Amino acid sequence: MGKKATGPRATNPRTSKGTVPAPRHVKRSATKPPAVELSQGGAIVRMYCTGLGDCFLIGLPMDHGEVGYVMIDCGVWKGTPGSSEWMRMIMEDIRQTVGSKGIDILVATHPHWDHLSGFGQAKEIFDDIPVKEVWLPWTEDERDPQARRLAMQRQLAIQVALAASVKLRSVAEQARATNLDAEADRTLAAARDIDELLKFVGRTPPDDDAALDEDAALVGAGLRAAAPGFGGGPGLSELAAAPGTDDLLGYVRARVSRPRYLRPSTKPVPSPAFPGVKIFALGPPTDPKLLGRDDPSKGPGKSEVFATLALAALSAGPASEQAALLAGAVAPDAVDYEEQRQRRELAFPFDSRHRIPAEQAYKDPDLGEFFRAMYGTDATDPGPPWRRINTDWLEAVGGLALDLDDHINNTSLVLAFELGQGDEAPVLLFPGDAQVGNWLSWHTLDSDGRFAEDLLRRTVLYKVGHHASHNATLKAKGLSRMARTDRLVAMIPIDETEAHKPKGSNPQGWDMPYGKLLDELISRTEGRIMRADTGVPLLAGSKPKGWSSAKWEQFQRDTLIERRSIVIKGEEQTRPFYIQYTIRSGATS
Amino acid sequence: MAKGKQSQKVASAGLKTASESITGLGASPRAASPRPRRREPAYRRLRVYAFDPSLATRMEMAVINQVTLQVPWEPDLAPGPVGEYLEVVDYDPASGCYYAPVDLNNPTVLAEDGWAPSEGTPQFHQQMVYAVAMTAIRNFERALGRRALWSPHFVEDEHGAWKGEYVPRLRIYPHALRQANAYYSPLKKSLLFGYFPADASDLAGHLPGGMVFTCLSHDVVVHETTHALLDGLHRRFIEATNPDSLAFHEAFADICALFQHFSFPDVLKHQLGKTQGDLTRQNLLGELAQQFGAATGLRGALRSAIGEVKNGQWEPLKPMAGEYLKVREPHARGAILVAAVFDAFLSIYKSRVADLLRIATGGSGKLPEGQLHPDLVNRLASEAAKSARHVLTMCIRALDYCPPFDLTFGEYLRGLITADSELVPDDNRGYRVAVIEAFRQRGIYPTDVRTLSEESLRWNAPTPEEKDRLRAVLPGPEVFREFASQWDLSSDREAVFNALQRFQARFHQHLRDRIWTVPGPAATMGLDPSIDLGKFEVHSMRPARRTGPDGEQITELIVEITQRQPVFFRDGRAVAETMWVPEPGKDADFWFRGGCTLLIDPETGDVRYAISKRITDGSRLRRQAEYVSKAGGSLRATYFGVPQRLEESEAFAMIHSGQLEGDADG
Repeated sequence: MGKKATGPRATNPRTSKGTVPAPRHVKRSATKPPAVELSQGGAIVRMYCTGLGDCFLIGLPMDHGEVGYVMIDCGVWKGTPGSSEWMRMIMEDIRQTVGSKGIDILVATHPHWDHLSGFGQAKEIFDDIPVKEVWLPWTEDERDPQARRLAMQRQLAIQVALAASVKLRSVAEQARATNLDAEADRTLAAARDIDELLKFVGRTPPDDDAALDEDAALVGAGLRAAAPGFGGGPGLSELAAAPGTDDLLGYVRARVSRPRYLRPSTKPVPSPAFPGVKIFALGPPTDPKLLGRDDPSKGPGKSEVFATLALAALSAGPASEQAALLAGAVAPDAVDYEEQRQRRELAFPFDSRHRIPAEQAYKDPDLGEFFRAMYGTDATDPGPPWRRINTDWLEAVGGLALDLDDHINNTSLVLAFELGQGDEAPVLLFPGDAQVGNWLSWHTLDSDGRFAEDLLRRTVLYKVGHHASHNATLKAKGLSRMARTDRLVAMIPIDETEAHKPKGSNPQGWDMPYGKLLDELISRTEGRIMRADTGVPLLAGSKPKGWSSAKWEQFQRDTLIERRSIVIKGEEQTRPFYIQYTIRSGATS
Repeated sequence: MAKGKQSQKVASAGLKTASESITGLGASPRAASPRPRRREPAYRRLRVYAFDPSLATRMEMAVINQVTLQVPWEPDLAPGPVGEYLEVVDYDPASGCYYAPVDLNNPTVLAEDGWAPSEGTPQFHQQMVYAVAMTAIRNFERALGRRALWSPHFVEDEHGAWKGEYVPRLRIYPHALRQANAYYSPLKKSLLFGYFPADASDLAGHLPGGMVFTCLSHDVVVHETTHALLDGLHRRFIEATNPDSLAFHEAFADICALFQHFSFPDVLKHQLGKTQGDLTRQNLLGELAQQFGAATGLRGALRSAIGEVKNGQWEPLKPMAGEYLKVREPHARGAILVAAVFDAFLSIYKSRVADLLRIATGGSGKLPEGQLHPDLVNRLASEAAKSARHVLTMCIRALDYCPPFDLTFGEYLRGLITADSELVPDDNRGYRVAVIEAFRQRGIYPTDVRTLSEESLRWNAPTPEEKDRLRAVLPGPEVFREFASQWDLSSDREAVFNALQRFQARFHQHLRDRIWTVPGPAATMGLDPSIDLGKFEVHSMRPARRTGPDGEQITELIVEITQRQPVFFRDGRAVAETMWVPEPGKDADFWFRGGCTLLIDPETGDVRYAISKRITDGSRLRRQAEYVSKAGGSLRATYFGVPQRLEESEAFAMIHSGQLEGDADG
């Protein structure tokens, strides 16, 4: 099916800017690619290879033979060397590709640095691209009470994690000064683990040079934090004024007067832009249980999951566990405000008459000897250092930071694009970084789960969630349901080298892509894997076994890898700039 | 060790005011008084919350809100309290302050059975953790008939060798964390308790936003203390080598907490009255950590062995055979074992009170509506307490009949059956049948037995030939007798620890010179000469005591011998090396262990049971590799990597805050 909707590009008034490059898998120069036909029921998906981060441009057929554009996210992991220049190259390419009519729909899936940084790093170019609509998940809607509560909890969690990291670092310094090196190392490692996770929300650790450079570039470009959000925390450099994820999201939001906040539904999002395409929002879920959990199989009562944001989000009062943690983590002399002082006082478990401040305790004529003998302050006191618990309460914050990261991933706006008409119309699936709870919620959109199942069954292009980590692609209720193994393509926005660099206390870096998932993806797609770091492995070899020549040639024609060069630290590198794949209309396979 | 001693001295020397005043009263054995000496009291009476402070707010429960525990008398109990087994150090790092240590020997405190229960007084908190933990220790020691040791503190000596140092006391920090968590730290040999503001969304039973203290929950304190006791007995049980290993730790801690409820007579009678003697109905005895559960928004107990709240309604638990195969999260998996044990207890209790109910009802067995006769409640309570004590003892004693590492629930079942049949050879009350039945209903059984009968579940005894071969390589009975005599309920714990080290070295040397000379015994013991150049470890030795059928005291010696080999993941496959060549900064991906637990008769030197897990067992190695690689499936693992050795990470901190989990995909 799929009637031809576009004529040759040469006759199109938008040609000069609106050209869609021809599919070629060879490296090509920067000259303009020739025009291509995009018929109803087809689509062209371009994955920009930002590094460890997402940036997608989708060309979709409009009325009258024109091509319109959906852009989903634009970001890269904070502190990736050379990323400022690379992201500007990407944004410039997007500007040239979409032309003067600009982007029809701009989507920001969730507020994480690796999905948004480009909007700041290339702001002056981004500002030059017309944007017609901005789509965001409902969790970013400031008018929504549930979303506001989530935002408050999120902010509090960030503050706790930040305060804990600062406090841990100061404890580590103290320990170092008193020759307790082992304790200092352990404490610093705990701080570093928290710092790494806070980089997702844009916070820069004080000793991360690459990330500091990135902030300096942003500040140099005249970008500042709009509000003194968590940038105002103690112990941060002047670069704390660099924009955070909230600011980046603000840039995206500000591009239109009325951004649209999407809730999951079985009805397509009403949009006049692409009459032949139905776009469904599948997530983020509105059920707090599914939203807050990375693994909902552990129901309450079955396990002791306490620091989860889900529980915190349910409690409306200010007296949350996190507030108590925060009150303790903030140094007493930094507490200026009456409100903070009160909060701190309320967070104490006992009246002040019971409390013996540590520094007094050691001098106490009756009890000082006991406290020094049993606990002590440094290596000279008899209290054995290996039994001290100075930072154990803060190390729990590592878990909180994980929950925070998880939770934000789970608020990802998930979009499914149904191309054309009919029972077998192909589907493109863009789940952002949705975690297990979000995936499971799609199956609850209708009473019997047929809706999500049907979309999954027809999926022909899957943007692999969360850089192919283990828990962002559901197996039984996800990948296994993608039945079009004859056509299915998986696009993985991953930079394995960057992922495996040491992170925090973990010398191995992050386990991305997760080996078993990668194997599973390869087998389900007959090898049609497109990786932002290494390109398309299938194209490097000869015709796969069992493929017809026509199928093999078609795949070669439909896949294009554009490579570009960049100089990083005096070294020229040529690497994939984008990978583009054309989905043909109809049920051809 | 030197430091421990020093602190003990300072603690008791620096703060003697209270005991001196006791001396004035003439009650202390150290008083040089011409008057006739008074015997030391056997117990110290201390008031605690029966469950936790939340019961005080419920009218019907307020009467059983507090109980007075009888804790073994420690004459030298210093302020803290700092005693023989425990040291309570009340440092609150989040608040940056200390709380003054309670002096339980103060005459006023002594006269009033300790401080009155109060949430707002840290000294009561110290008293309660001490009293409850001591009770748990006492139960443990009584069941095993010997004194309990904490797991040693390992230090590296100047040659780079690791040496275990004696840890006299488990440390308790009642206010260590600002979070809804409490855990045993194997590294610090400490229990860390948290406090947190209650969940503000559920207004029933607690002040929203009010402070909840985990150290005031009887169940949480027993649970954590039991982790420490189990770690002291089986150090390798915290290695996550199969889905059951961490779950077992959790389950065992819950079992001890549950059955300790039955030692409170008033609570027991109250609840039996309320449930008309039917313990399968919702009651406090079968549930754990009420306040904790409610305060974290669970609208009920944290865990229950008898039922759960579903859609606001309490429903009894039904055993599901498939659950054991499915559930991986340690607490949830552990709950299956807890439910099995509790079920066994319920059938034992039912059979014990069947006659009482017949007498009370004129033969119908059907009780009329309304209150039970107090006499009947008393009799029911005594039967319930006896059954509970028996089951708890059975569960603790089974630990001596388990392999020293990589325990599965099925093996624990074999341990339970073997231990009990040793203690009570004739199962005429059907206790073991009840246990087997309860396990069977939940699909828990060992994979290597033919039937689920008592005979096949009991560990196999070595054949006479095997016995002869083992005797040829093991030391003679006189060595065992000498060792066994040094460790009972009245021994000095540090002396026991030192003797243990000496005997283990002696045993090791004796065995090392002989074991590889003949082929038989090594295989019976699960060891292999080709691995690690034939190096092995005498992991543990201890005497197990029991009263024989004719009332005579029988002692057996338990010896655990283990061997290990490093396993690396290479190209997606687990490769076991025969030897470990240390590389700086690189450890094995995991260690695979083999070895055995031997039960030896010290009179004859005969090996009665050899509970072995072969180091050459390839399929067990593959299962462990599969399990270990799956543990990499959590988000924590994606970001922070898998902890190389669990004992080096704060395993319980992570399990208890839900950060360590099985595979995530549903």
